[in-house]
Amino acid sequence: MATIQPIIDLSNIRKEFDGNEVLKSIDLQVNRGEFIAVVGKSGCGKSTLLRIMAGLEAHNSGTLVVNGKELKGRNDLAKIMFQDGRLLPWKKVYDNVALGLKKEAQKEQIDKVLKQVGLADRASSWPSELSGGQKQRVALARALIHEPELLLLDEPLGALDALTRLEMHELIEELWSEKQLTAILVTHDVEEAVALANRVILIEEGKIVLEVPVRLPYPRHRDHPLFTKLVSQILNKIMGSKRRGNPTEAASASLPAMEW
Amino acid sequence: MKTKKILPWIIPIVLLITWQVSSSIGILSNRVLPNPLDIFTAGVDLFKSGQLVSDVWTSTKRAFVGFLIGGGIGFALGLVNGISRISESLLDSSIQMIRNIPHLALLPIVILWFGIGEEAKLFLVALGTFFPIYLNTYHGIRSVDPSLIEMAYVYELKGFSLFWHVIFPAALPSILVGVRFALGITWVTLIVAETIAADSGIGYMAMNAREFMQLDVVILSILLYALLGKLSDVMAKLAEKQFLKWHPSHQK
Repeated sequence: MATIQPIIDLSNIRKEFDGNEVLKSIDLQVNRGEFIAVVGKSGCGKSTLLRIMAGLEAHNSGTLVVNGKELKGRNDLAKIMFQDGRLLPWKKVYDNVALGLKKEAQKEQIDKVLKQVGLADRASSWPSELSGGQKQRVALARALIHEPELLLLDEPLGALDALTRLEMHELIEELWSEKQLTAILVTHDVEEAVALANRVILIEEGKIVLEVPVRLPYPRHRDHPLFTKLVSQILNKIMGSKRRGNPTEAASASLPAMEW
Repeated sequence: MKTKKILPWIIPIVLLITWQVSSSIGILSNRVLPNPLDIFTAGVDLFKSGQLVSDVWTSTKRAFVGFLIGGGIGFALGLVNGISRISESLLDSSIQMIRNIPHLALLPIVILWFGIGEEAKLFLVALGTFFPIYLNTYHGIRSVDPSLIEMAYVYELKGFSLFWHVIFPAALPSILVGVRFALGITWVTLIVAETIAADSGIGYMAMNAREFMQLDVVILSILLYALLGKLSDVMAKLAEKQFLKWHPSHQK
């Protein structure tokens, strides 16, 4: 069997802002159909990494190969979903989803994608009339209608409440498997990462320090022993590197942080 | 609910009645302030003779055309300077310099240049409306949320569609604030210009009546200006309501 070309191949990516090194030597291969979660504390460079993959940020050195070709400028295979949704407040939901579509785009297409995200009845609402979760559903619909091969999620659920987040997990997982997307999710919520991804990557101080495959069937149950084990393994790594060599204490100390 | 609607009207109505009564019983001399009924009759007479309509029309036309010229140029320059850095560095500081001259201070020189012709009034109104619209358009475009521009880049919007779908609607609330400011300035400018240098219009009607001591017509002219100013403000508000439906502050 021939080796399958990864959809994204990062090698030795380095990025600095005004002399401040945010990413140091990142190597990562993303395979087609994978769901990768990138976790880390705020300021660890995980969002920057995602923005580099989207072509919104240029890296200082290293190579970024998308579909076998070195990426120059915007990554047209990808659509990115931002934490703040970034809907246009002066366009109704329908027109927000239609943004950037060619004129001949079909109404059915938009109706269909709105139905997929569960907002068929909100097509003519203004974004200001929607809840946070609904706004992110619109943002998701807007990304999906372009049928991207790669869906980049930049903490899209960070601002949502816990229950809405669970609903969104379900939706994202459903759409990912149905559309056979490749997805990369940046999050600070380890449980969210383990619930959604096949592979969880931990970034600390600009480097990948841990890579954990998650071999659990979907939909995932949070009380599954392997689930809990993986979550605490990642949390231990995060907390352990702060408080050197006291994993037990670190694990319990991390629990309150999970709450929010 | 009903009292809330009546409440604001109580003081104006009481004032009007007091004014009328004190004039009728002779406390208030007609040479100081004619009573409301006299003013109303004067208005009806002028309307019948056709002078009222013609003068109001003349003034409205001046306001409208001057506003269109000044506002149009202000909008265009605000747009260009908001979008292009080169144009901004070339033009903005000069525009800001001229802005420091109160436009009404130019009245003597404008009379010397144009006499009491239409150009004088149009020039002053255009100059007065130019700045608020320029400033607010420029500022509106400069303050478009860069994260929305980035989002538009992801969705491959560029050139005119970027402007039309993202930049212009984002700047519109600020532009409309400029329009309301400019409308206020339009009428103030016209009042001054027509009072000093005109041979038609509401201001001329007032000055002409002053010569003949027709105090009722003078008061009528003042009220007409107030009415027209209010009318333009209501129109600007309606435009805001129409174009900013999406804005949370315009949703009921």
